[in-house]
Amino acid sequence: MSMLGAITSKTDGAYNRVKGIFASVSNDKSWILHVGVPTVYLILFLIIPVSYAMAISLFEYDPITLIEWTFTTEFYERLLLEEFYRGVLWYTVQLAFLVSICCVIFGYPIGYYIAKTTPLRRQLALFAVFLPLMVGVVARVYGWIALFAGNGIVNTYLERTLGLQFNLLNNTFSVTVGLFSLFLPLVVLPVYSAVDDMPDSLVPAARNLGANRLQAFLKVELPLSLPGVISGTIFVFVLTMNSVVTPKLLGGRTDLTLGVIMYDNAVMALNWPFASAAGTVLTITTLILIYLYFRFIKGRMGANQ
Amino acid sequence: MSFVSIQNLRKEYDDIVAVNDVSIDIEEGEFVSILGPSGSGKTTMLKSIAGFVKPTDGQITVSGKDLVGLPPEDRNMGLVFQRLALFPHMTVHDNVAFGLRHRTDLSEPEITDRIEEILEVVSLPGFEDRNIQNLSGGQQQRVALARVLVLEPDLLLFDEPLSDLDRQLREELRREIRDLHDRLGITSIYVTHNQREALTLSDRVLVLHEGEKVRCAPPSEVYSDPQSKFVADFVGDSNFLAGKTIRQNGTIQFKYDGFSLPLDGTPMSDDGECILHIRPEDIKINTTTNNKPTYEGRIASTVHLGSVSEYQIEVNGTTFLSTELGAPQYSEGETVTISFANYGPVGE
Repeated sequence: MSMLGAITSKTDGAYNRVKGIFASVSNDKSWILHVGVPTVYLILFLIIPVSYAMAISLFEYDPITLIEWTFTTEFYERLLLEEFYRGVLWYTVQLAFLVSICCVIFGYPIGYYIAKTTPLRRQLALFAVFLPLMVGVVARVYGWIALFAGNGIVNTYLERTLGLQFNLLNNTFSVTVGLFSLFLPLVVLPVYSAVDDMPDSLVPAARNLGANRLQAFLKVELPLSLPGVISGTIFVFVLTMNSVVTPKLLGGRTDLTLGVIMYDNAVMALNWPFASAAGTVLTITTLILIYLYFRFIKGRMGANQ
Repeated sequence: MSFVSIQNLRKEYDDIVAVNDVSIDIEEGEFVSILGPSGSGKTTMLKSIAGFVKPTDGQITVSGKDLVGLPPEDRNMGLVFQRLALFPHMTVHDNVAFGLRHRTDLSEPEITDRIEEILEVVSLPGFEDRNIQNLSGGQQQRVALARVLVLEPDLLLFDEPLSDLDRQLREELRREIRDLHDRLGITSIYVTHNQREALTLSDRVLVLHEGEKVRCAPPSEVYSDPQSKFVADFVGDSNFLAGKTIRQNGTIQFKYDGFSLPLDGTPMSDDGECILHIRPEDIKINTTTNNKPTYEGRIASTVHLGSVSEYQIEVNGTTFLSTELGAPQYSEGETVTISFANYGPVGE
C-alpha cells in the first residue's frame, strides 16, 4: 500500500513537473529567448560547420577542386587501419593522459593551497595562475624553445655547472611541458573553487570524530573536491587531444598528434577530406573516452556509498 | 577534583587577548553555558577545549587528564557546530558511522546496530539511507547530535548550534537538547550569544565579556543578581540609575535626582558612587507596595508585545522601561504612580 503510494506520488510528481513545463511554455513567451537563442547559436556555430566538415570526409580528394563529390570511406580506412595513423591516434591519447595526470598532480595542491591561504596570498597566487593566460600560445612555445634548445638557457647552465648536455627539445618531454604549462590553470581554478566552496567546519568536525588530518582530507575534502578535479581534467584532456601548435613546434618527428595530421592536411597538403576525417576520428575518440571516464567515476562514486 | 577543570585559560592572538585568565570547574553531568556577545572569547574557549586552538597559557583537564597539547582527534569530545558540518557527500548512516569507524574497533554490523539505536534516541528512526541534503534543518540538527552522541563522549560541546534556525524550531530543539542531556547525563558546555538559550538550558552560566569572566552562577542568580552593569544589560533588560549612597539613620540610602531608595546590600564601591539596576518587570504601576517609596510619572509610550506590554515611563526627566503581563492597561500621556519592587546595586 505504502509502496503503491510512493510509486503514484512519484509519477504524480513527474507528471506535474512535465505539466509545469508546458504550462510555463504556453503562458510565458520568454521561452523564445531562453530556448531559441542558444539553439540558433549552436546550429550556426557548431552544428552546421561540424556537420559540413564531417560530410566532406566521406568524399574523394581532388588536387584541383579539393573535393570530388564521389562517396568514399578511403580516409577512414587509412586512419583506422594503417599502422602509422593508428600509432598517431594512440600517441595522441597517451599524451592527453600524461598531460592530464601531470596537471592534476601539480594543479590540485596549488588549487587547494589557494583556497586555504590568507586573502592576500590568495590574490597573489590567483594572479600568478592567470598571468600566463594573458600570453599567447606561440609566444610561450618560443619561450620554451629559448629555454630548452641545445644552446638554450637550461643547457648552457647545466654545461657550466655539471658539464652535462641534455636533449630537451623536439621530444615528448618538451611537448608535455609545453602543454602542461598551458593547461595547468584549467585544473587549478576548478579545484580552488571546489575547495573554497566547502564549509570550514568540515575538517574540524572530522577530527572531532577521531580522524587525523590526513584521514579528514582523504575522506571529506578529497571526495568533495572531486567535481573540480573532474571538470579540470576534462578540459585538459580535450584540449590536449586537439592540440596542434605546441606538439608541432616543440615535438620531434615522432611526436605527431592527430591534430597535427589534421592541420598539415588542411593547410599544407590541402587534402580537406582527409583532414576532415582526421578531425572526425579525433572528436569521436575524445567523446568516447570522456563517456568512459564518466562511467568510471559514476561506478566509483556508487561503490563508495 | 572536578570532572572538567579549566584553570587560568589564556589565549592571545598577535595583539589581542581573546581569553584572559578564565577559570571554571564543571561537575560531571553538569550543563554549563558560556554566554557572551561576539568577540567575547567564548568560541575561542570552546575551541581550546576541543583542541582546535592552542592556549597561550592555562590548564584544561577532563577527569584528571591534562588535555593541552593533545590533538582534537585524541580527545573524547563531541562537538556540535553552528553550521552542523555534516558531510554532504555521505548518507545519514555514513555520517553517524564516521566517528565509530575512526574511534572504535567495532565491526560494520555492530556499527549498524549502534546507529539504529542512536537514531531512535534522536527520533529519526529509519533515516539511515537518507541523503543529508534532503533533510530539514531540524532533522540535520538531530543527525549532528546523533553523530556525536553515538561515540558516548566524555564531554559534549555545542557551538551555537541553534542560531541558524527559526524561532519555533529553535525552542523545540532547545528542549530536546536539555531533555537528551537529562536522559544521557553527558557533561555539556554550550556556547551561545543568546541569553534566553543560556538561561533556559543550563545549570550554570559563565558570562564572558572581552575575554574575561564577569559572572558564573546558576541562571536565576545571574538574572536576579547580575553584579555588573554589563551582565545586567546583556542578560535581560535593565533600567540603570547612576547616583550616590548616603548613610542615613543607620541605613544606606541611594540618592539620585529626586529618587531616594533604601539599600539592603553594601554598595559596590566605597566612594559613594553607585549604579542601581531595576528590572522592567520590577517596576510596579499603580500598585501600592508596603513601605516602598512611590513616584509620579507619565506614560511616554506603550508597546504591545503579545504576552507582555512594554511602557516607557517618564519620572522627573528620567525614562524607565517597565513591562507588565497582558494587554496594555494604560495609554500614552496618562499619569501613573510607580514603585520599585526589587532593585540592587551593580558594579561598572
